[in-house]
Amino acid sequence: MGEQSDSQVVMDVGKWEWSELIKKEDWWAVWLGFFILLMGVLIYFPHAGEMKAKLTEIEGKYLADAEKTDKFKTIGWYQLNDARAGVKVNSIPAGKWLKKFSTKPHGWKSNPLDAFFMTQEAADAKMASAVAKYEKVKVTEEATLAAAQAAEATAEAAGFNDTALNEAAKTSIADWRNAWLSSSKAKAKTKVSPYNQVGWLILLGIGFAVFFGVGMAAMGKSFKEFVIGFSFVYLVAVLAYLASSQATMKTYGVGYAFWAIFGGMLISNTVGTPKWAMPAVQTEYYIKTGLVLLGASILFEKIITIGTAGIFVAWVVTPTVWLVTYWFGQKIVKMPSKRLNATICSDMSVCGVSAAIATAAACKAKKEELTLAVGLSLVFTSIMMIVMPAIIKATFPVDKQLILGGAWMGGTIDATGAVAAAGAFLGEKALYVAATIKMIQNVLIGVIAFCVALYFTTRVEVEETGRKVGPMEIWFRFPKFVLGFIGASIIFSLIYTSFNSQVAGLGPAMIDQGVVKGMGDLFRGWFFALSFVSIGLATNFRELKEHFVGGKPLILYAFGQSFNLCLTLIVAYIMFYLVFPELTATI
Amino acid sequence: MNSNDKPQMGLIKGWAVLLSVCCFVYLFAVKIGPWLLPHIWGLEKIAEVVEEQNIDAGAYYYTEIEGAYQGQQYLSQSLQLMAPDQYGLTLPFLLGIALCLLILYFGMKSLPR
Repeated sequence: MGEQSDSQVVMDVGKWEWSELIKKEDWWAVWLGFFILLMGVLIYFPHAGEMKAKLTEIEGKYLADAEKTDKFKTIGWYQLNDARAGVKVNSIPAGKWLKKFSTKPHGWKSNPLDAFFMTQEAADAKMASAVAKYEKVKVTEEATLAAAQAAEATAEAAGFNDTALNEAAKTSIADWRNAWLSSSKAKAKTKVSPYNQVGWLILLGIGFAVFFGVGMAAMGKSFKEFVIGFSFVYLVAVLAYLASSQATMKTYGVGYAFWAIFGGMLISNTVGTPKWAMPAVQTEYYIKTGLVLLGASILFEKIITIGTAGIFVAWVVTPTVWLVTYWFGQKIVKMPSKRLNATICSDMSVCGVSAAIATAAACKAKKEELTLAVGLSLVFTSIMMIVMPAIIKATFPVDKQLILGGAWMGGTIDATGAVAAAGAFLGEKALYVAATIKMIQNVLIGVIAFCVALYFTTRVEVEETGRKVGPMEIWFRFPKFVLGFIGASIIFSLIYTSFNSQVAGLGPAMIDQGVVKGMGDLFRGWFFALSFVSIGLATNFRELKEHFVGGKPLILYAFGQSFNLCLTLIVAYIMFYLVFPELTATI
Repeated sequence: MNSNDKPQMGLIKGWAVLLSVCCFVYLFAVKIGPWLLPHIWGLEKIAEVVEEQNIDAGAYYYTEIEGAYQGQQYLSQSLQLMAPDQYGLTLPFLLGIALCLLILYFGMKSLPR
């Protein structure tokens, strides 16, 4: 590669070579990610006709009842949506096998072996207890349904023109829905089967070792050394999932990302990472492959879910907070690392760990920077999950707690799980609004990652090298996996919309419950766990401390989150109650 | 990449620290954490809700939460039933997206060098 010293000359130092497609890690992430997605397509798409037929039958059964009035949501409306939600393409035998093949350790309370084994006797005892609870709530559900049906019939007899009768029907139906929710959750717990996870975990580990090992061999590394090292990395990832599935940790919201980094760092800073494991410590390789899978779940149609109000809270507030916080970090706090600055901005303003991963990979942040950003996010997430519902209960008017409170939490608490827990604390509608706002923010990850990649490639790296670069150099430096990530998002967004245009609910049945939950998602979590373990195994506490000097990352996060909390609340109130109150009334 | 060629402390001390931390984590999970639950306002109720609704409070992405799918369906169907003119690619909605992209474009251009 040639170089010139004149900084005004546009430099195209990098050279495109077609062999990059099989020699570079970024491209292997794209090929491996798309291989998994293609398998999902081949397994599930042939069943589209079957799913379409089921949905059409459901519409025939419930649609008339669902649409008999627009004054309130009828029992038929709820039954239509419940039936649609039950149509899932991953319920085919192949889908069930894939789920079994990729299952993480199960939940446990005090005996970690419960995560791997459950005997028939234990399963029977658990099922008996769950069935007893279900039978109890089922009686209540049936009673409330009967009352709701009577109230609705009375309102219908008045042509749905009597406001008092309509309100009475609404209240009865709301009572039935609460009972139905308890009943359906209780019913789900009656499905208990014995399991022995060990064999499946070993099989999965071998599968992953070969899957990633092929790419490593193509990139000129030793397949044998990789596979040997992978056994160690995989074992630590399994232990991370084991820790995260413990009941107390689930309640506190301490997920696998924390345990993977923590476990890796604990090993590397005490007994030391074994040298033979190092060939498999491949943070970026695993993360980029996981990100391509993540791309398939970024479906653009989802952003219309809650209308314009949702778009303003999720897509207008978020980039504003990102940019203001980044500016604050550069100008006021004077963060030494732009990449750490960008990663913290993303995890705080967008959606926590997943946004941090995408941004860190897009701007080529260091492992320690990602670790720090994720650590800050996890700490504040746990605090906000508890504090925000308390503030909402104590200070918000009762009629605004569910929707405004839900939107506020959804737009500010970083992790979706914590958002769901905090929303559920307030009520079902708060859960729905909060989780939906967070989902719309999740869709923004692709846009943010692309913008960050472009910004760092065309501005930051140019400033760092002191030379202007031409289009070929920009292409050479641009993180290619982002193209796979965006490509997966665009392709599956188009397919999702196309399915939905055939019959309502087909997109969710085939993409959400098929390619995403029935394929991509089964492995994405594992890949991120492997990458976080790799980060931990390669991180020194002292190196991590250096990035925290002066507490600047903490100051940046605290400023950004405070600004986020204020702006989200203001915009949510304006959108949901001043500009679009009729939208809010539909919820 | 830090390869940790040498352990940061002696091997025996290293193992002792590793095992002690593991024991502490287990103790927190089984005893300390549950004891703390009723002492932190609201956490016990959150624990109840998480258990009852089988929510993974440690989940990082919407696809890991059933509530996100249920919420999406409930909210979009509600909007289509009761305010269909507000659903879909309406002008205000498109303006919101355009505003987002404009903020990103001009914001990124204006970031400090």
